[in-house]
Amino acid sequence: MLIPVRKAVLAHNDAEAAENAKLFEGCRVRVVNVMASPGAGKTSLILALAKCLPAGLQPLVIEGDVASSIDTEKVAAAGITVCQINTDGDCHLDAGSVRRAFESLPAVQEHGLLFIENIGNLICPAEFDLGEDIRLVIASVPEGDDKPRKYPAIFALADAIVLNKTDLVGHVEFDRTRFEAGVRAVNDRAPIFDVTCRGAVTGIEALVDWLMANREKSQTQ
Amino acid sequence: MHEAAIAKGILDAVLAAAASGAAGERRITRVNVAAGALAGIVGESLDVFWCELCRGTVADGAVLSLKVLPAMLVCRRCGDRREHRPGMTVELECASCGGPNRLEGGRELYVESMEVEDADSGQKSRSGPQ
Repeated sequence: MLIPVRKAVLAHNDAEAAENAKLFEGCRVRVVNVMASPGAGKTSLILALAKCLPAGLQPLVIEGDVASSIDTEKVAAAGITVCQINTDGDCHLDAGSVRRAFESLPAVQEHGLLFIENIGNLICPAEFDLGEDIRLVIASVPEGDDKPRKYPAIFALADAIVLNKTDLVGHVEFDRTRFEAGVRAVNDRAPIFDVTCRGAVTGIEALVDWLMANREKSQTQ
Repeated sequence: MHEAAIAKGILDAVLAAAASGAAGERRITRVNVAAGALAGIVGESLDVFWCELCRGTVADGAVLSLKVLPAMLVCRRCGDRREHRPGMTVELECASCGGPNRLEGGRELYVESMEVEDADSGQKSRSGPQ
């Protein structure tokens, strides 16, 4: 006997993500889910952004890693409130683990901007809603210009795309026009921000301005 | 490798459907899952987690049938539409007119249906040797 089910496979995570969104809203915290491959510069970008936030907006960070607290130590050293999630092998964060981490953070005084640094992976994090407002996907110049075409799902859902390590253009093989064409083949609405987060930092102010203007719920839900 | 969570989601969905009464207590023999081309599901990997997770439940031994729904590569200029399946290259230019392509769809992931054994065979199965 055939019985129709018609249920989303990740319905449980989706329900928890919806609860997270309410929790964040009630705590006056907007949330950015930062996704990228390992080494693309997620932590560096978060640190650069946190330095440039306007007064009254407190940065918070949840660090997701399979193992270690290396990134958490970097973020804490910058004086930013941070909590570590170790997934012990899981390749993505899910809504439940983010909720538990968020509840361990101290309450924000005015308004908060929470950066969730997802596990370095361009596949699995795309499937798991965390209750975030903005999905930020980073690609870095040394990875090559083909990443949007190789990992279309994650670039398709991005609300904004950051091209990091632009100071390396000219030193490695990277065609900026081809990168943008790849992004536009899968996502025609996300702006692309060219940044450098180390040394002579560039492009961060424009991204902060965009985050301030687009802090509302992601349009891709 | 998010197939463990996917397998758990599938099992939760079918057990909830079974508990809702439509299937009675009959054994689930097949589960039909639809996944978009961009959902990143590896069937063999999903099977491994599925076989482990469903053990000891009414879905124990059920065959997991994965149907891949293609995404579409659509030309912004001439409207040419071509199926995009897992592993295919996202071509930037339309094969018909050279215009810019755009990838659409392919994110679906849901349990479509399940098959349960007929009432008669269920009784035989339960009364038979283990």
